[in-house]
Amino acid sequence: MRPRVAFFSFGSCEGCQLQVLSVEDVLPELLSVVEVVNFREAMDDRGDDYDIAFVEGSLVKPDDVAELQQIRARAKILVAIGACACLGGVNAMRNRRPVTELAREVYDGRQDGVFAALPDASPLSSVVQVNYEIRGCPIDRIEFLEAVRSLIAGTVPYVPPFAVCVECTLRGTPCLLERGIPCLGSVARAGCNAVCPAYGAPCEACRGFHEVPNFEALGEAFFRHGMTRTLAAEKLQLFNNYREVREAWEQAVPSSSAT
Amino acid sequence: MDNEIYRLPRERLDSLIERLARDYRVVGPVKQGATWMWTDVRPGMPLALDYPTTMLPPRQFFAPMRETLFRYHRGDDGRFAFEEPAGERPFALLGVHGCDLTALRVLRAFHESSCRDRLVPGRLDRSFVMGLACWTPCLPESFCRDMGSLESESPASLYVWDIGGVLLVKVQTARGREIMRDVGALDAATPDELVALRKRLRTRPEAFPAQLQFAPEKLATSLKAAESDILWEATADRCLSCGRCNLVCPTCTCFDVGDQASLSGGDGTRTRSWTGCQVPGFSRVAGGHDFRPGRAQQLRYRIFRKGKYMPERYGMVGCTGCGRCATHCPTHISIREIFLQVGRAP
Amino acid sequence: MPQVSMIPEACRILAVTPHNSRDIHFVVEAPKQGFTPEPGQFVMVSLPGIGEAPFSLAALPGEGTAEGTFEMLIRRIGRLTNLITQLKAGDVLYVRGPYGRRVEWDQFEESNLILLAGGLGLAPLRSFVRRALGRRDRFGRIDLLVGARSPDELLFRTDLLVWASRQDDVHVHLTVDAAREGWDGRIGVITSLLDGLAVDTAGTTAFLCGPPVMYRHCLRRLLAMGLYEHNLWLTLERRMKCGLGLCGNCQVDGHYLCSEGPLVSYREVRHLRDVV
Repeated sequence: MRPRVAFFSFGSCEGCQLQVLSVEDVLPELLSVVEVVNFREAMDDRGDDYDIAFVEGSLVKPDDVAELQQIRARAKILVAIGACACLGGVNAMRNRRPVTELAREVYDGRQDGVFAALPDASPLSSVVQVNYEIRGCPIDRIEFLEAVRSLIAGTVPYVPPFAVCVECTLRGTPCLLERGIPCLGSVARAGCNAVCPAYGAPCEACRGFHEVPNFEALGEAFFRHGMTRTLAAEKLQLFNNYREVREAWEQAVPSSSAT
Repeated sequence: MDNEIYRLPRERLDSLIERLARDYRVVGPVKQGATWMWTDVRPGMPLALDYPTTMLPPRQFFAPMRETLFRYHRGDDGRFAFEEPAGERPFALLGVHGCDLTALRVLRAFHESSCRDRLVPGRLDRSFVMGLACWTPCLPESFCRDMGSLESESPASLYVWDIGGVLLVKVQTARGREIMRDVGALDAATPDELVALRKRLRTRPEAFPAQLQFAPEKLATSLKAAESDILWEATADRCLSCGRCNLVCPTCTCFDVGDQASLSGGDGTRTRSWTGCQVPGFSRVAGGHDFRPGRAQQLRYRIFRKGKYMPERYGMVGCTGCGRCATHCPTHISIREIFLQVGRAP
Repeated sequence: MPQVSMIPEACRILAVTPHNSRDIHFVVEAPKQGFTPEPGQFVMVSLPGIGEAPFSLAALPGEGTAEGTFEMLIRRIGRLTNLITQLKAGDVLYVRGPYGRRVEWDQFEESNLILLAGGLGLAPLRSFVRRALGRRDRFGRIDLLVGARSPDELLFRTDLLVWASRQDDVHVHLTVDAAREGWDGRIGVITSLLDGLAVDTAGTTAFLCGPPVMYRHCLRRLLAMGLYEHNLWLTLERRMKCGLGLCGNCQVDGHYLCSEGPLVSYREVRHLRDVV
């Protein structure tokens, strides 16, 4: 029997769901191995009976918590997809300032249509047990399909333990850091096939960190290539600002607020 | 064959490429953006005979970065059938520096020892190599002269000195002579050209100041005295465990094995891809135990492998002095500096 | 030399016996050609699309298991073993090998044997015990020392019972790290089983297999008892990816354990780093 899968979305751009939909070439094959019962971006039907829940987005509204807990209770396997769901992602950039202050600044004091917000935008794992994570902003479609394949086969998805540099080097991409471009690839987790550097854009560590990130050395690498160590901290805040994620690096990399 | 030095006018390089393309997939250094990369070359393409080395070493043509070991397909009986990929076209490499020629000898020595892989030696046998003399160090981190690879002229069927104007080509194998004959380039170098070559070779060492104060053969003994973790910790603190040093190294040989498959799992491939001792997870076993867990241990392992284990086991030092690992290390961990420190120690 | 392929052979699973919730015992059809392993060698087992891993042999063809078959004990511990441990008799595993050093058994003849197995380490050592019992008259006294975390985690219990009933042939000693009520056996680390073992130091060979921490303690103890370094044999676990002496994942100080091991004598490796 095909496992029933459902897709859910919290605070996010829903770009990860779009990545899932971008697998047109294998969509028929995908639908032959799973039954999709809930997928807002793609269908109207809503099913509450599912085996695997793929959840994107971070928790940003008070209602999100109960909703996620309900998904958790129904799903046998809960998979967080994307940087928002796995790390807090870009939403967690707001966590450094009180939400009231931000609301005042952004909405200019207007109340109508402004939804209530949690004090912190947080990853799914801050509230429920997450079985597996498919990281990235957005997720990589090949990695998503590989994860689906592993799950329907009955085992755990493969997660590369090493740095984006490995994939980048093997693609033959000239090192961006060597050109003075602030790239986080040396601390970031691989799995994306280093797609950003291949197009000249530095790695932003949207997939979080590899198994043994050395943040002191990252600062050193920035410094050696003509950049400041504080720039490393600024870059890290983009995707890795959620409290517990931030704890991994903030002692090691001086941030401008600390210096 | 020692004295078979012929003239190859620069514009005849295209004929050489054309001739080789009949039997080989021809690759050479070509400038791409700010860097030089091994690239498929066709007549008319600007072969960069003045290139300051490439990031990825030529071993990619003998043990590809990612290589399909076999394909599999689930048959009607539910069992998988396996199929090895068809033999590929052999490569002709044009413009291989002494460091990388040395590395090809290291690769052969490794693959012809206890190791049971025949893919790499087979490819080395079938390939065609044209070596190229260097006149200046490729990188600030190059120390090829110290490692004895600057003068390395083999394995190469042809070996080229670019003396400005004409190229002088030494024929080193019967196959090399055959190719030169087919290209119609069997005019002996003139006495004047040979004098010019000798003069350049005599003054060449000046451009390559000595960086180590000891012979590379001494490394194994020196390293023996550098076992202690403490000696490695300060340098290893700078290591990002990004693995670039392994991947750009011309003598690294380690690989990982992985499977790719269609969604239903019915078709797929098993591939091997480059990895190395500095890549997280390399020395880990099922269940999570890592037998070489620390950065200091891992860094020491890499240096010991190059400077001690490889000479002891394969008769050749595993470092050619090409300078790639230090150049491409984000924090500039320099094998040259490490060798220097180790060799300096009493 | 012919090209060495990494293509495996489809081998049918003939029997599956769980030893506990995560350790599953497989009897498997052996590869057809040249499958004549020695104790201490290993096979590479895979499921296409999932991956491949090395496994030790818990029984060799014709040595306590039928000709043309071999046995493995596989623990559910990761991506590949999650799936293998769900397979049933009649399903197929993809096998290549045997790989690893062939250690000649002639050299152990007339020796007393001590086999120390910690946890899963009993799986490979089981084929050693069977080799020794199959040629019982060629060896002196045989002691099998088995340690497990708890009584529930004792593996190959049927074998242990059978062997324990053959006291003239093999002395079986068991210990567990911790036990609930009802266990009347010994509680303590495996080295404690060496206490009071009468050993002819020059004429005794020991084989060790277990978790990394076990080796250090057992080696120290066995050496203190006076056993010779060249008579201490360790089977070392590494994550072999090729078995051909090439991929490098199994390296210890430049030695490729997939070919030069995994069975090594302490004398051969005592000067190496990061062995256990």
